[in-house]
Amino acid sequence: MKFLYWNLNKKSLYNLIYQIANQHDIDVMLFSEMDFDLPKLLQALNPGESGIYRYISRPFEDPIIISRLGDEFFTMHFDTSGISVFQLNPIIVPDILIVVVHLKSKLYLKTEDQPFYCQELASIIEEYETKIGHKRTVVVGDFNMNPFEQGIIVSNGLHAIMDRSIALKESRKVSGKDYYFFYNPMWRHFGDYPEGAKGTYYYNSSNPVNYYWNIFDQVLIRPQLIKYFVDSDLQILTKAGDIKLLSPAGLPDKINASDHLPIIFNLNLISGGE
Amino acid sequence: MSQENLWGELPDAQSLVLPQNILKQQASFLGKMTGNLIEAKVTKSIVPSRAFSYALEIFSSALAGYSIRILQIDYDITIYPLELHDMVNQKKYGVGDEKELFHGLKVILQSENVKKVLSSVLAHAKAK
Repeated sequence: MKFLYWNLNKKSLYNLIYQIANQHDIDVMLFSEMDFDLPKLLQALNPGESGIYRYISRPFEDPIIISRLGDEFFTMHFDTSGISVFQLNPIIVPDILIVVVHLKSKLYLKTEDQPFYCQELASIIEEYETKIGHKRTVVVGDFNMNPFEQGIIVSNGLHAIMDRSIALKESRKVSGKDYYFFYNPMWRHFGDYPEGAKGTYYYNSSNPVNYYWNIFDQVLIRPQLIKYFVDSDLQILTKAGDIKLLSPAGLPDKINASDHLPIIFNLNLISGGE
Repeated sequence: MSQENLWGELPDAQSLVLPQNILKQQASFLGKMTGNLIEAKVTKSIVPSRAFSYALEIFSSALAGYSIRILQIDYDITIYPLELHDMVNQKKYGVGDEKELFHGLKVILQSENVKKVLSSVLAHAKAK
């Protein structure tokens, strides 16, 4: 099952979304900061055909969910600003819990306050994992933090680490309490080799610490889903079809696309578990 | 050894309303206002750094199991100052006393974004 997450920066990117959906055979699309005409997007996604892609209707509209699977395969559990929890129940294959996040930007929140929201997020995730009775959970979205930042790493935050062999141990004890891991496959997407995206978001500041490229858009998976995760299909996209998402300077093209680059990933729920 | 009572006058517990009870009171109003089409509940939450944490969530029995967290309060044993988190507008307030809590709750519950959420839940509940 192929997923696309993209912070659209309130841009009407109908054609780019269509190109990505078509080229990468996307099943579920998750969009933050979508501020455009939904019927137009659905028209663009379904040219000449009747409703392959559908809008999954729910009271909270960020993120927007568009899928080739109908409403009946989604069970909505929880929403609050920046956090959505729902279950995807495909026929035959195992159901999964999907948590989509769009955490507050560093422009509006102090770096030291960000871990608070990750603690909140972690407790919400655990609450719904307990309710549905499994930990086949994927968390995806714009965290507005890099994979190495405290809220992502700390045990009482998301506890997401770069090493799957450690993540497969499922949990570790800190001060006598068990904390469950996430595996964060985004780490290896930093940097400029091989050719491609150097991150998902570029920000140049005059502060002493300046990363330039950040990976704010991430997917985290519980150890129980690692066997379904297809490493080679995790991509930070720099093109939508033949259309470049980067400017001639090699930075996210804020004018013709978004200030964030999209990410795609694949959970092979059919044969991945075998 | 002196038998003097060193505790002094004990405070009047009756005069202190627990913040979660203020939330519960507000929760009870919503059901009445919507003919129980939308209801609200107060849930205990876990915040590692604070002793107590409670959230106000809205739900509709027409939308089985689905809930939306509107706000959250976190506090320690002394109660005030507490942190009031506006989850819909993504704001955080420091609250010094009960009067400020009422004011903060009013600001959040009457905010445009909360009204939009309520309106959307109502529409979805009616459609079911």
